[in-house]
Amino acid sequence: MDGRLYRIQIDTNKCTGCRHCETACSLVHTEGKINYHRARIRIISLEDRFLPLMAGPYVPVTQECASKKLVTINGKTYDQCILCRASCPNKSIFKEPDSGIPLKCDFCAFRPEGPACIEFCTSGALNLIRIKE
Amino acid sequence: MFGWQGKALRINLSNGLVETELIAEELLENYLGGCMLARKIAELENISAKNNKLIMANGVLTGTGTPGAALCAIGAYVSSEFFCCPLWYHLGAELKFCGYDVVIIEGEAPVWSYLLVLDDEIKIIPAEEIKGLSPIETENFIRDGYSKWLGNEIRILSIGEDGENQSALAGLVSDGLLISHSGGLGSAFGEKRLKAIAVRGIQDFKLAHASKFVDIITKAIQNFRDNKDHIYEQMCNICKELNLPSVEKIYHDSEKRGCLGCPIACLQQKQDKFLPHFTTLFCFMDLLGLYRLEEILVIYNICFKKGIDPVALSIAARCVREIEKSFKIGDIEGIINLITDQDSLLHKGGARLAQEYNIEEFFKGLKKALNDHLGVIFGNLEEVNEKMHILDTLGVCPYILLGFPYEMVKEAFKTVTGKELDEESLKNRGLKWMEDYTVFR
Repeated sequence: MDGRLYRIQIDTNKCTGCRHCETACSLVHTEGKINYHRARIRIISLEDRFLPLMAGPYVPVTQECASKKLVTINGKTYDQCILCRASCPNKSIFKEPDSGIPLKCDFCAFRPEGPACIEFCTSGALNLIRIKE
Repeated sequence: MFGWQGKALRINLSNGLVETELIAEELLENYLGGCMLARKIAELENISAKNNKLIMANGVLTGTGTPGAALCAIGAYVSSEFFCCPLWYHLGAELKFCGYDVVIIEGEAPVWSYLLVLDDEIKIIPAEEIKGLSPIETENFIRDGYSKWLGNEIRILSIGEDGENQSALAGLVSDGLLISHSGGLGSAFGEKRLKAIAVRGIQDFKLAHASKFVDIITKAIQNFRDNKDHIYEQMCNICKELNLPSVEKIYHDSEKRGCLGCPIACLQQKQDKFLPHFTTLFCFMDLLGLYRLEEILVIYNICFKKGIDPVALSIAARCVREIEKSFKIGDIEGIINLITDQDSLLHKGGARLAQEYNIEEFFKGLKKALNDHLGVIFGNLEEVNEKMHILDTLGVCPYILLGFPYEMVKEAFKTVTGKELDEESLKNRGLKWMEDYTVFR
Protein backbone atom coordinates (compact mmCIF):
# COMPACT_ATOMS: atom_id res chain seq x y z
CA MET A 1 0.00 0.00 0.00
CA ASP A 2 1.22 3.54 -0.69
CA GLY A 3 0.22 5.49 2.44
CA ARG A 4 -2.93 6.93 0.94
CA LEU A 5 -6.32 6.21 2.54
CA TYR A 6 -8.21 3.28 1.10
CA ARG A 7 -11.50 1.60 1.74
CA ILE A 8 -13.01 -1.69 0.66
CA GLN A 9 -16.25 -0.98 -1.11
CA ILE A 10 -18.84 -3.75 -0.88
CA ASP A 11 -21.54 -4.23 -3.50
CA THR A 12 -23.99 -6.79 -2.12
CA ASN A 13 -25.81 -6.92 -5.45
CA LYS A 14 -22.78 -8.57 -7.00
CA CYS A 15 -21.78 -11.02 -4.28
CA THR A 16 -22.40 -14.63 -5.43
CA GLY A 17 -21.71 -16.11 -1.99
CA CYS A 18 -18.73 -18.14 -3.22
CA ARG A 19 -16.71 -17.16 -0.14
CA HIS A 20 -13.46 -17.00 -2.08
CA CYS A 21 -12.67 -13.83 -0.12
CA GLU A 22 -12.83 -15.73 3.19
CA THR A 23 -10.47 -18.38 1.85
CA ALA A 24 -8.01 -15.81 0.54
CA CYS A 25 -8.05 -13.87 3.81
CA SER A 26 -7.41 -16.89 5.99
CA LEU A 27 -4.70 -18.16 3.63
CA VAL A 28 -2.58 -15.03 3.69
CA HIS A 29 -3.05 -14.37 7.41
CA THR A 30 -2.41 -17.84 8.81
CA GLU A 31 0.82 -19.13 7.28
CA GLY A 32 -0.64 -21.56 4.80
CA LYS A 33 -3.76 -22.68 6.59
CA ILE A 34 -7.29 -22.36 5.34
CA ASN A 35 -10.02 -21.82 7.86
CA TYR A 36 -12.65 -19.21 7.20
CA HIS A 37 -13.15 -18.88 10.93
CA ARG A 38 -9.75 -17.18 10.90
CA ALA A 39 -10.80 -14.78 8.15
CA ARG A 40 -11.33 -11.09 8.77
CA ILE A 41 -14.09 -10.99 6.21
CA ARG A 42 -17.09 -13.29 6.36
CA ILE A 43 -20.07 -13.83 4.11
CA ILE A 44 -23.46 -13.88 5.72
CA SER A 45 -26.44 -15.24 3.87
CA LEU A 46 -29.54 -13.07 4.06
CA GLU A 47 -32.88 -14.09 2.67
CA ASP A 48 -32.22 -13.02 -0.88
CA ARG A 49 -28.58 -11.98 -0.96
CA PHE A 50 -25.13 -12.49 0.42
CA LEU A 51 -23.42 -9.84 2.44
CA PRO A 52 -19.66 -9.66 2.96
CA LEU A 53 -19.12 -8.54 6.56
CA MET A 54 -15.96 -7.13 8.07
CA ALA A 55 -17.25 -6.39 11.54
CA GLY A 56 -18.06 -9.51 13.50
CA PRO A 57 -21.29 -11.33 14.25
CA TYR A 58 -24.56 -9.79 15.39
CA VAL A 59 -24.90 -7.47 18.35
CA PRO A 60 -27.35 -8.94 20.88
CA VAL A 61 -30.49 -6.79 21.06
CA THR A 62 -30.96 -6.47 24.77
CA GLN A 63 -27.38 -6.07 25.90
CA GLU A 64 -25.80 -3.73 23.43
CA CYS A 65 -28.39 -2.40 21.03
CA ALA A 66 -31.65 -0.96 22.24
CA SER A 67 -32.86 0.17 18.85
CA LYS A 68 -32.52 -2.92 16.71
CA LYS A 69 -35.53 -3.16 14.46
CA LEU A 70 -36.71 -4.91 11.39
CA VAL A 71 -36.65 -2.70 8.31
CA THR A 72 -38.66 -3.36 5.16
CA ILE A 73 -37.12 -2.32 1.85
CA ASN A 74 -38.83 -3.16 -1.45
CA GLY A 75 -41.08 -5.68 0.30
CA LYS A 76 -38.18 -7.53 1.95
CA THR A 77 -37.59 -7.42 5.67
CA TYR A 78 -34.05 -6.96 6.87
CA ASP A 79 -32.56 -7.03 10.31
CA GLN A 80 -31.39 -3.51 11.02
CA CYS A 81 -28.29 -4.90 12.72
CA ILE A 82 -27.05 -5.80 9.26
CA LEU A 83 -27.77 -2.38 7.84
CA CYS A 84 -26.16 -0.14 10.41
CA ARG A 85 -23.15 -2.23 11.36
CA ALA A 86 -20.68 0.10 9.72
CA SER A 87 -21.53 2.93 12.10
CA CYS A 88 -22.43 0.85 15.16
CA PRO A 89 -20.34 1.87 18.18
CA ASN A 90 -20.92 -1.48 19.87
CA LYS A 91 -20.32 -3.75 16.94
CA SER A 92 -18.65 -7.01 17.80
CA ILE A 93 -15.52 -8.32 16.14
CA PHE A 94 -14.62 -11.73 14.72
CA LYS A 95 -12.43 -13.87 16.94
CA GLU A 96 -10.12 -16.83 16.35
CA PRO A 97 -12.14 -20.00 17.10
CA ASP A 98 -9.50 -21.53 19.40
CA SER A 99 -7.49 -18.69 20.90
CA GLY A 100 -10.21 -16.04 20.95
CA ILE A 101 -7.78 -13.48 19.48
CA PRO A 102 -9.76 -10.67 17.81
CA LEU A 103 -9.48 -10.52 14.05
CA LYS A 104 -9.45 -7.14 12.36
CA CYS A 105 -8.99 -6.33 8.71
CA ASP A 106 -5.54 -4.86 8.13
CA PHE A 107 -6.01 -4.35 4.38
CA CYS A 108 -3.26 -7.00 3.98
CA ALA A 109 -0.76 -4.21 4.63
CA PHE A 110 2.06 -6.78 4.44
CA ARG A 111 1.19 -7.61 0.81
CA PRO A 112 2.41 -5.26 -1.91
CA GLU A 113 -0.52 -6.46 -4.08
CA GLY A 114 -3.06 -5.19 -1.53
CA PRO A 115 -6.00 -7.02 0.07
CA ALA A 116 -6.15 -10.70 -0.89
CA CYS A 117 -9.96 -10.79 -0.66
CA ILE A 118 -10.21 -8.27 -3.50
CA GLU A 119 -7.73 -10.19 -5.62
CA PHE A 120 -9.77 -13.38 -5.23
CA CYS A 121 -13.17 -11.74 -5.78
CA THR A 122 -14.23 -12.16 -9.40
CA SER A 123 -17.81 -11.00 -9.07
CA GLY A 124 -16.95 -7.33 -8.48
CA ALA A 125 -18.56 -7.37 -5.03
CA LEU A 126 -15.34 -6.15 -3.41
CA ASN A 127 -13.41 -3.18 -4.71
CA LEU A 128 -10.55 -1.16 -3.33
CA ILE A 129 -11.29 2.55 -3.51
CA ARG A 130 -8.98 5.43 -2.66
CA ILE A 131 -10.77 7.99 -0.54
CA LYS A 132 -7.95 10.42 0.23
CA GLU A 133 -4.59 11.34 -1.27
CA MET B 1 0.19 -35.02 4.92
CA PHE B 2 -1.05 -31.98 3.01
CA GLY B 3 -4.25 -31.82 0.97
CA TRP B 4 -6.15 -34.30 3.12
CA GLN B 5 -7.26 -34.22 6.73
CA GLY B 6 -6.50 -37.95 6.91
CA LYS B 7 -9.54 -38.89 8.95
CA ALA B 8 -12.85 -40.65 8.39
CA LEU B 9 -15.97 -40.30 10.48
CA ARG B 10 -17.95 -43.50 10.98
CA ILE B 11 -21.47 -43.25 12.34
CA ASN B 12 -23.68 -46.19 13.18
CA LEU B 13 -27.28 -45.03 13.23
CA SER B 14 -28.52 -48.30 14.79
CA ASN B 15 -26.48 -48.14 18.00
CA GLY B 16 -25.45 -44.48 17.94
CA LEU B 17 -21.74 -45.29 17.88
CA VAL B 18 -19.55 -42.51 16.49
CA GLU B 19 -15.91 -43.24 15.67
CA THR B 20 -13.09 -41.29 14.10
CA GLU B 21 -10.72 -43.43 12.05
CA LEU B 22 -7.38 -42.63 10.45
CA ILE B 23 -7.36 -43.25 6.70
CA ALA B 24 -4.30 -45.02 5.29
CA GLU B 25 -2.13 -42.45 3.52
CA GLU B 26 -1.63 -44.91 0.66
CA LEU B 27 -5.38 -45.17 0.09
CA LEU B 28 -5.73 -41.40 -0.16
CA GLU B 29 -2.70 -40.99 -2.41
CA ASN B 30 -3.83 -43.77 -4.73
CA TYR B 31 -7.51 -42.87 -4.95
CA LEU B 32 -7.30 -39.14 -4.17
CA GLY B 33 -10.96 -38.40 -3.44
CA GLY B 34 -14.40 -37.89 -4.95
CA CYS B 35 -16.30 -40.74 -6.59
CA MET B 36 -13.11 -42.74 -7.12
CA LEU B 37 -12.31 -42.84 -3.39
CA ALA B 38 -15.97 -43.34 -2.45
CA ARG B 39 -16.18 -46.31 -4.81
CA LYS B 40 -13.00 -47.85 -3.39
CA ILE B 41 -14.27 -47.44 0.17
CA ALA B 42 -17.59 -49.00 -0.84
CA GLU B 43 -15.60 -51.98 -2.12
CA LEU B 44 -13.58 -52.23 1.09
CA GLU B 45 -16.74 -51.96 3.19
CA ASN B 46 -18.48 -54.70 1.20
CA ILE B 47 -21.50 -52.56 0.54
CA SER B 48 -24.57 -54.41 -0.67
CA ALA B 49 -28.37 -54.10 -0.50
CA LYS B 50 -28.31 -55.81 2.92
CA ASN B 51 -25.27 -53.91 4.15
CA ASN B 52 -26.00 -50.48 2.71
CA LYS B 53 -23.88 -47.54 3.80
CA LEU B 54 -23.78 -43.92 2.77
CA ILE B 55 -20.27 -42.88 1.79
CA MET B 56 -19.16 -39.27 1.44
CA ALA B 57 -15.69 -38.56 0.08
CA ASN B 58 -14.27 -35.11 -0.43
CA GLY B 59 -12.08 -34.16 -3.36
CA VAL B 60 -8.43 -33.41 -2.57
CA LEU B 61 -8.76 -29.76 -3.50
CA THR B 62 -12.25 -29.25 -2.05
CA GLY B 63 -12.28 -26.20 0.19
CA THR B 64 -8.75 -25.11 -0.71
CA GLY B 65 -9.79 -22.08 -2.72
CA THR B 66 -8.86 -23.64 -6.07
CA PRO B 67 -11.54 -22.21 -8.39
CA GLY B 68 -14.51 -24.58 -8.54
CA ALA B 69 -13.14 -26.96 -5.89
CA ALA B 70 -16.33 -27.55 -3.94
CA LEU B 71 -17.33 -31.09 -4.80
CA CYS B 72 -17.82 -33.94 -2.40
CA ALA B 73 -18.89 -37.34 -3.69
CA ILE B 74 -21.81 -39.07 -2.06
CA GLY B 75 -22.78 -42.64 -2.80
CA ALA B 76 -24.76 -45.61 -1.59
CA TYR B 77 -26.03 -48.94 -2.84
CA VAL B 78 -29.06 -48.07 -4.94
CA SER B 79 -31.16 -50.59 -6.94
CA SER B 80 -28.47 -53.05 -7.84
CA GLU B 81 -25.10 -51.35 -7.50
CA PHE B 82 -23.10 -48.66 -5.76
CA PHE B 83 -24.13 -45.30 -7.20
CA CYS B 84 -22.17 -42.14 -6.64
CA CYS B 85 -22.65 -38.50 -7.60
CA PRO B 86 -20.89 -35.23 -6.82
CA LEU B 87 -22.49 -32.83 -4.33
CA TRP B 88 -22.06 -29.16 -5.16
CA TYR B 89 -22.28 -25.97 -3.18
CA HIS B 90 -20.70 -25.67 0.30
CA LEU B 91 -21.28 -28.81 2.32
CA GLY B 92 -18.21 -30.80 1.20
CA ALA B 93 -15.77 -28.08 2.21
CA GLU B 94 -17.53 -27.67 5.55
CA LEU B 95 -16.99 -31.36 6.19
CA LYS B 96 -13.30 -30.89 5.50
CA PHE B 97 -13.23 -28.04 8.01
CA CYS B 98 -14.70 -30.51 10.53
CA GLY B 99 -11.50 -32.50 9.95
CA TYR B 100 -12.85 -35.32 7.76
CA ASP B 101 -12.15 -36.45 4.22
CA VAL B 102 -14.62 -39.30 4.41
CA VAL B 103 -17.89 -40.01 6.21
CA ILE B 104 -19.36 -43.51 6.45
CA ILE B 105 -22.93 -43.80 7.69
CA GLU B 106 -24.19 -47.28 8.48
CA GLY B 107 -27.15 -48.91 10.20
CA GLU B 108 -30.68 -47.61 10.51
CA ALA B 109 -31.93 -45.09 13.04
CA PRO B 110 -34.74 -46.38 15.29
CA VAL B 111 -36.74 -43.16 14.65
CA TRP B 112 -36.45 -40.34 12.10
CA SER B 113 -33.29 -38.43 12.96
CA TYR B 114 -30.74 -36.02 11.63
CA LEU B 115 -27.00 -36.10 11.96
CA LEU B 116 -25.24 -33.12 13.43
CA VAL B 117 -21.51 -32.62 12.93
CA LEU B 118 -20.88 -29.37 14.74
CA ASP B 119 -17.18 -28.78 15.32
CA ASP B 120 -16.19 -31.62 17.71
CA GLU B 121 -19.75 -32.39 18.65
CA ILE B 122 -21.20 -35.27 16.64
CA LYS B 123 -24.73 -36.32 17.45
CA ILE B 124 -27.55 -38.34 15.98
CA ILE B 125 -30.57 -36.28 16.93
CA PRO B 126 -33.93 -38.08 17.01
CA ALA B 127 -36.64 -35.79 15.64
CA GLU B 128 -39.87 -37.53 14.67
CA GLU B 129 -41.41 -34.12 13.96
CA ILE B 130 -38.99 -33.69 11.05
CA LYS B 131 -40.75 -36.46 9.09
CA GLY B 132 -42.91 -35.11 6.28
CA LEU B 133 -41.12 -31.78 6.09
CA SER B 134 -39.88 -30.48 2.77
CA PRO B 135 -36.09 -30.01 2.45
CA ILE B 136 -36.36 -26.25 3.02
CA GLU B 137 -38.61 -26.76 6.07
CA THR B 138 -36.07 -29.27 7.37
CA GLU B 139 -33.28 -26.73 6.96
CA ASN B 140 -35.30 -24.12 8.85
CA PHE B 141 -36.16 -26.64 11.58
CA ILE B 142 -32.48 -27.41 12.16
CA ARG B 143 -31.25 -23.80 11.89
CA ASP B 144 -33.95 -22.53 14.26
CA GLY B 145 -32.33 -24.55 17.03
CA TYR B 146 -29.29 -22.28 16.96
CA SER B 147 -28.48 -18.59 17.15
CA LYS B 148 -28.99 -16.67 13.93
CA TRP B 149 -25.25 -16.42 13.31
CA LEU B 150 -24.48 -20.08 14.00
CA GLY B 151 -27.55 -21.21 12.06
CA ASN B 152 -26.26 -19.26 9.09
CA GLU B 153 -22.95 -21.15 9.21
CA ILE B 154 -24.46 -24.64 9.34
CA ARG B 155 -24.57 -26.43 5.97
CA ILE B 156 -27.41 -28.89 5.52
CA LEU B 157 -28.03 -31.81 3.20
CA SER B 158 -31.57 -33.13 3.38
CA ILE B 159 -34.26 -35.18 1.71
CA GLY B 160 -37.94 -34.57 1.09
CA GLU B 161 -41.05 -36.70 1.22
CA ASP B 162 -39.95 -38.81 -1.75
CA GLY B 163 -36.74 -39.76 0.03
CA GLU B 164 -38.77 -40.83 3.05
CA ASN B 165 -40.92 -42.98 0.77
CA GLN B 166 -37.75 -44.43 -0.80
CA SER B 167 -38.72 -43.46 -4.33
CA ALA B 168 -36.12 -44.19 -7.00
CA LEU B 169 -36.39 -40.54 -8.03
CA ALA B 170 -35.55 -39.15 -4.61
CA GLY B 171 -32.59 -36.82 -4.71
CA LEU B 172 -30.83 -34.54 -2.28
CA VAL B 173 -31.10 -30.86 -1.45
CA SER B 174 -28.06 -28.97 -0.20
CA ASP B 175 -28.75 -25.59 1.43
CA GLY B 176 -31.76 -24.93 -0.78
CA LEU B 177 -30.11 -26.24 -3.92
CA LEU B 178 -31.66 -29.28 -5.59
CA ILE B 179 -28.77 -31.57 -6.56
CA SER B 180 -29.46 -32.86 -10.04
CA HIS B 181 -28.15 -36.37 -10.86
CA SER B 182 -28.60 -37.41 -7.21
CA GLY B 183 -31.69 -39.49 -8.02
CA GLY B 184 -31.89 -42.61 -5.84
CA LEU B 185 -29.59 -41.38 -3.08
CA GLY B 186 -32.54 -39.80 -1.26
CA SER B 187 -34.01 -43.29 -0.89
CA ALA B 188 -30.76 -44.47 0.77
CA PHE B 189 -31.31 -41.71 3.36
CA GLY B 190 -34.93 -42.79 3.72
CA GLU B 191 -33.92 -46.42 4.23
CA LYS B 192 -31.80 -45.28 7.19
CA ARG B 193 -34.46 -42.90 8.57
CA LEU B 194 -31.89 -40.16 8.14
CA LYS B 195 -33.63 -36.92 7.21
CA ALA B 196 -30.60 -34.64 7.05
CA ILE B 197 -26.93 -34.09 7.69
CA ALA B 198 -25.99 -30.74 9.25
CA VAL B 199 -22.35 -29.69 9.27
CA ARG B 200 -20.22 -26.84 10.54
CA GLY B 201 -16.45 -27.02 10.98
CA ILE B 202 -13.79 -24.76 12.43
CA GLN B 203 -10.62 -26.77 11.91
CA ASP B 204 -7.60 -25.67 9.91
CA PHE B 205 -6.61 -27.20 6.65
CA LYS B 206 -2.93 -26.97 5.71
CA LEU B 207 -1.41 -26.48 2.28
CA ALA B 208 2.09 -27.65 1.30
CA HIS B 209 3.17 -24.45 -0.51
CA ALA B 210 0.63 -21.78 0.37
CA SER B 211 2.35 -18.73 -1.12
CA LYS B 212 2.92 -20.49 -4.46
CA PHE B 213 -0.72 -21.59 -4.36
CA VAL B 214 -1.89 -17.99 -3.84
CA ASP B 215 0.30 -16.86 -6.77
CA ILE B 216 -1.14 -19.50 -9.12
CA ILE B 217 -4.74 -18.78 -8.18
CA THR B 218 -4.29 -14.99 -8.30
CA LYS B 219 -2.80 -15.24 -11.78
CA ALA B 220 -5.59 -17.56 -12.96
CA ILE B 221 -8.25 -15.23 -11.55
CA GLN B 222 -6.67 -12.23 -13.24
CA ASN B 223 -6.74 -14.09 -16.51
CA PHE B 224 -10.37 -15.07 -15.90
CA ARG B 225 -11.30 -11.43 -15.26
CA ASP B 226 -9.72 -10.40 -18.57
CA ASN B 227 -11.74 -13.03 -20.45
CA LYS B 228 -14.97 -12.86 -18.45
CA ASP B 229 -17.09 -11.43 -21.26
CA HIS B 230 -15.92 -14.12 -23.62
CA ILE B 231 -16.92 -16.81 -21.08
CA TYR B 232 -20.47 -15.48 -20.68
CA GLU B 233 -20.80 -15.26 -24.45
CA GLN B 234 -19.68 -18.89 -24.58
CA MET B 235 -22.36 -19.86 -22.02
CA CYS B 236 -25.04 -18.08 -24.04
CA ASN B 237 -23.89 -19.98 -27.13
CA ILE B 238 -24.17 -23.24 -25.22
CA CYS B 239 -27.81 -22.44 -24.40
CA LYS B 240 -28.48 -21.65 -28.05
CA GLU B 241 -26.82 -24.84 -29.17
CA LEU B 242 -28.80 -26.85 -26.63
CA ASN B 243 -31.92 -25.21 -28.03
CA LEU B 244 -32.99 -23.83 -24.65
CA PRO B 245 -34.98 -20.75 -25.67
CA SER B 246 -36.51 -20.27 -22.21
CA VAL B 247 -33.14 -19.80 -20.52
CA GLU B 248 -33.08 -16.09 -21.18
CA LYS B 249 -36.62 -15.70 -19.79
CA ILE B 250 -36.03 -17.89 -16.76
CA TYR B 251 -32.75 -16.24 -15.84
CA HIS B 252 -34.03 -12.72 -16.49
CA ASP B 253 -33.46 -10.57 -13.40
CA SER B 254 -31.94 -13.50 -11.52
CA GLU B 255 -28.79 -13.30 -9.44
CA LYS B 256 -25.71 -15.42 -9.94
CA ARG B 257 -24.69 -17.77 -7.15
CA GLY B 258 -21.44 -19.67 -6.76
CA CYS B 259 -20.42 -22.89 -5.08
CA LEU B 260 -17.48 -22.49 -2.73
CA GLY B 261 -14.67 -20.63 -4.48
CA CYS B 262 -16.28 -20.72 -7.91
CA PRO B 263 -15.82 -17.64 -10.10
CA ILE B 264 -18.02 -19.09 -12.88
CA ALA B 265 -21.07 -18.95 -10.57
CA CYS B 266 -23.39 -20.82 -12.93
CA LEU B 267 -26.17 -21.17 -10.35
CA GLN B 268 -29.02 -18.69 -10.60
CA GLN B 269 -31.30 -17.51 -7.83
CA LYS B 270 -34.43 -15.38 -7.85
CA GLN B 271 -36.21 -14.24 -4.68
CA ASP B 272 -34.12 -16.57 -2.50
CA LYS B 273 -34.97 -19.63 -4.61
CA PHE B 274 -32.58 -21.43 -6.92
CA LEU B 275 -33.66 -21.69 -10.54
CA PRO B 276 -33.29 -24.85 -12.63
CA HIS B 277 -29.78 -25.44 -13.98
CA PHE B 278 -28.88 -26.04 -17.66
CA THR B 279 -29.15 -29.83 -17.38
CA THR B 280 -32.53 -29.63 -15.67
CA LEU B 281 -33.80 -27.24 -18.33
CA PHE B 282 -32.51 -29.52 -21.05
CA CYS B 283 -34.27 -32.52 -19.43
CA PHE B 284 -37.57 -30.68 -18.92
CA MET B 285 -37.62 -29.34 -22.45
CA ASP B 286 -36.11 -32.16 -24.46
CA LEU B 287 -37.33 -35.14 -22.46
CA LEU B 288 -40.51 -33.95 -20.73
CA GLY B 289 -41.61 -31.71 -23.61
CA LEU B 290 -42.22 -28.71 -21.35
CA TYR B 291 -41.38 -25.47 -23.11
CA ARG B 292 -43.50 -22.88 -21.32
CA LEU B 293 -41.66 -21.07 -18.57
CA GLU B 294 -44.56 -21.39 -16.11
CA GLU B 295 -44.81 -25.13 -16.66
CA ILE B 296 -41.09 -25.65 -16.18
CA LEU B 297 -41.18 -23.76 -12.92
CA VAL B 298 -44.27 -25.63 -11.66
CA ILE B 299 -42.58 -29.02 -12.13
CA TYR B 300 -39.28 -27.73 -10.76
CA ASN B 301 -40.99 -26.42 -7.63
CA ILE B 302 -42.72 -29.76 -7.09
CA CYS B 303 -39.32 -31.49 -7.43
CA PHE B 304 -37.83 -29.04 -4.96
CA LYS B 305 -40.61 -29.49 -2.43
CA LYS B 306 -40.67 -33.27 -2.61
CA GLY B 307 -36.90 -33.68 -3.03
CA ILE B 308 -37.03 -35.25 -6.48
CA ASP B 309 -34.05 -35.26 -8.83
CA PRO B 310 -35.31 -33.54 -12.01
CA VAL B 311 -32.96 -35.55 -14.22
CA ALA B 312 -34.12 -38.89 -12.79
CA LEU B 313 -37.72 -37.68 -13.12
CA SER B 314 -37.32 -36.78 -16.79
CA ILE B 315 -35.64 -40.07 -17.68
CA ALA B 316 -38.24 -42.10 -15.77
CA ALA B 317 -41.12 -40.14 -17.35
CA ARG B 318 -39.80 -40.91 -20.83
CA CYS B 319 -39.61 -44.59 -19.90
CA VAL B 320 -43.22 -44.47 -18.63
CA ARG B 321 -44.24 -42.93 -21.94
CA GLU B 322 -42.56 -45.82 -23.75
CA ILE B 323 -44.52 -48.31 -21.61
CA GLU B 324 -47.87 -46.52 -21.33
CA LYS B 325 -48.69 -44.77 -24.58
CA SER B 326 -51.67 -43.04 -22.98
CA PHE B 327 -49.24 -40.79 -21.08
CA LYS B 328 -48.25 -37.91 -23.32
CA ILE B 329 -45.01 -35.97 -23.24
CA GLY B 330 -45.68 -32.28 -22.62
CA ASP B 331 -48.85 -33.04 -20.64
CA ILE B 332 -48.13 -31.22 -17.40
CA GLU B 333 -51.23 -32.57 -15.63
CA GLY B 334 -50.20 -36.09 -16.52
CA ILE B 335 -46.68 -35.49 -15.19
CA ILE B 336 -48.02 -34.04 -11.92
CA ASN B 337 -50.37 -37.02 -11.50
CA LEU B 338 -47.49 -39.43 -11.98
CA ILE B 339 -45.36 -37.56 -9.44
CA THR B 340 -48.06 -37.33 -6.78
CA ASP B 341 -49.11 -40.97 -7.14
CA GLN B 342 -46.45 -42.77 -5.09
CA ASP B 343 -47.51 -46.11 -6.62
CA SER B 344 -47.11 -44.93 -10.21
CA LEU B 345 -44.57 -46.57 -12.50
CA LEU B 346 -42.60 -43.33 -12.47
CA HIS B 347 -41.34 -43.89 -8.92
CA LYS B 348 -39.65 -47.13 -9.95
CA GLY B 349 -37.10 -45.03 -11.79
CA GLY B 350 -35.75 -45.28 -15.34
CA ALA B 351 -33.19 -48.05 -14.80
CA ARG B 352 -35.67 -50.44 -13.15
CA LEU B 353 -38.40 -49.72 -15.69
CA ALA B 354 -35.93 -50.39 -18.50
CA GLN B 355 -35.10 -53.76 -16.97
CA GLU B 356 -38.63 -54.81 -16.05
CA TYR B 357 -40.25 -53.77 -19.32
CA ASN B 358 -37.40 -54.71 -21.59
CA ILE B 359 -36.81 -51.21 -22.96
CA GLU B 360 -33.10 -51.12 -22.25
CA GLU B 361 -32.18 -49.92 -25.73
CA PHE B 362 -34.57 -47.00 -25.39
CA PHE B 363 -33.11 -46.23 -21.95
CA LYS B 364 -29.58 -46.26 -23.38
CA GLY B 365 -30.76 -43.79 -26.03
CA LEU B 366 -31.89 -41.39 -23.28
CA LYS B 367 -28.53 -41.71 -21.57
CA LYS B 368 -26.83 -40.95 -24.86
CA ALA B 369 -28.95 -37.82 -25.36
CA LEU B 370 -27.82 -36.57 -21.95
CA ASN B 371 -24.21 -37.40 -22.66
CA ASP B 372 -24.48 -35.52 -25.94
CA HIS B 373 -25.81 -32.48 -24.10
CA LEU B 374 -22.75 -32.59 -21.82
CA GLY B 375 -20.70 -32.77 -25.00
CA VAL B 376 -22.22 -29.46 -26.12
CA ILE B 377 -21.32 -27.87 -22.78
CA PHE B 378 -17.79 -29.17 -22.48
CA GLY B 379 -16.79 -29.54 -26.11
CA ASN B 380 -15.56 -32.84 -27.46
CA LEU B 381 -16.62 -35.27 -24.72
CA GLU B 382 -14.16 -37.91 -25.80
CA GLU B 383 -11.36 -35.45 -25.18
CA VAL B 384 -12.59 -33.97 -21.93
CA ASN B 385 -14.06 -37.13 -20.40
CA GLU B 386 -10.76 -38.23 -18.91
CA LYS B 387 -10.10 -34.76 -17.53
CA MET B 388 -13.56 -34.73 -15.96
CA HIS B 389 -12.81 -38.02 -14.19
CA ILE B 390 -9.65 -36.50 -12.75
CA LEU B 391 -11.36 -33.24 -11.81
CA ASP B 392 -13.93 -35.27 -9.89
CA THR B 393 -11.27 -37.01 -7.80
CA LEU B 394 -9.84 -33.57 -7.05
CA GLY B 395 -13.27 -32.19 -6.12
CA VAL B 396 -13.25 -29.64 -8.93
CA CYS B 397 -16.43 -28.94 -10.89
CA PRO B 398 -16.01 -29.57 -14.65
CA TYR B 399 -17.76 -26.25 -15.38
CA ILE B 400 -14.53 -24.60 -14.29
CA LEU B 401 -13.04 -25.65 -17.64
CA LEU B 402 -15.23 -22.96 -19.23
CA GLY B 403 -13.08 -20.28 -17.64
CA PHE B 404 -9.86 -21.83 -16.36
CA PRO B 405 -7.19 -24.03 -17.93
CA TYR B 406 -6.89 -27.64 -16.78
CA GLU B 407 -3.19 -27.00 -16.19
CA MET B 408 -4.06 -24.53 -13.43
CA VAL B 409 -5.84 -27.31 -11.52
CA LYS B 410 -2.80 -29.58 -11.87
CA GLU B 411 -0.53 -26.85 -10.55
CA ALA B 412 -2.92 -26.20 -7.67
CA PHE B 413 -2.79 -29.90 -6.80
CA LYS B 414 1.01 -29.73 -6.68
CA THR B 415 1.08 -26.73 -4.36
CA VAL B 416 -1.69 -28.03 -2.12
CA THR B 417 -0.34 -31.58 -1.66
CA GLY B 418 3.35 -31.12 -2.50
CA LYS B 419 3.01 -34.03 -4.96
CA GLU B 420 2.79 -34.38 -8.74
CA LEU B 421 -0.57 -35.45 -10.15
CA ASP B 422 0.02 -38.86 -11.68
CA GLU B 423 -2.76 -39.08 -14.26
CA GLU B 424 -1.55 -42.32 -15.78
CA SER B 425 -1.73 -44.28 -12.54
CA LEU B 426 -5.18 -42.83 -11.84
CA LYS B 427 -6.37 -44.17 -15.19
CA ASN B 428 -4.99 -47.59 -14.30
CA ARG B 429 -6.94 -47.62 -11.07
CA GLY B 430 -10.19 -47.42 -12.98
CA LEU B 431 -11.45 -43.88 -13.08
CA LYS B 432 -15.18 -43.90 -13.22
CA TRP B 433 -17.26 -40.79 -13.36
CA MET B 434 -19.37 -40.44 -16.44
CA GLU B 435 -20.71 -43.98 -16.10
CA ASP B 436 -21.94 -43.16 -12.63
CA TYR B 437 -23.23 -39.80 -13.64
CA THR B 438 -25.34 -41.17 -16.43
CA VAL B 439 -26.88 -44.24 -14.81
CA PHE B 440 -30.01 -42.33 -14.01
CA ARG B 441 -32.41 -44.00 -11.70
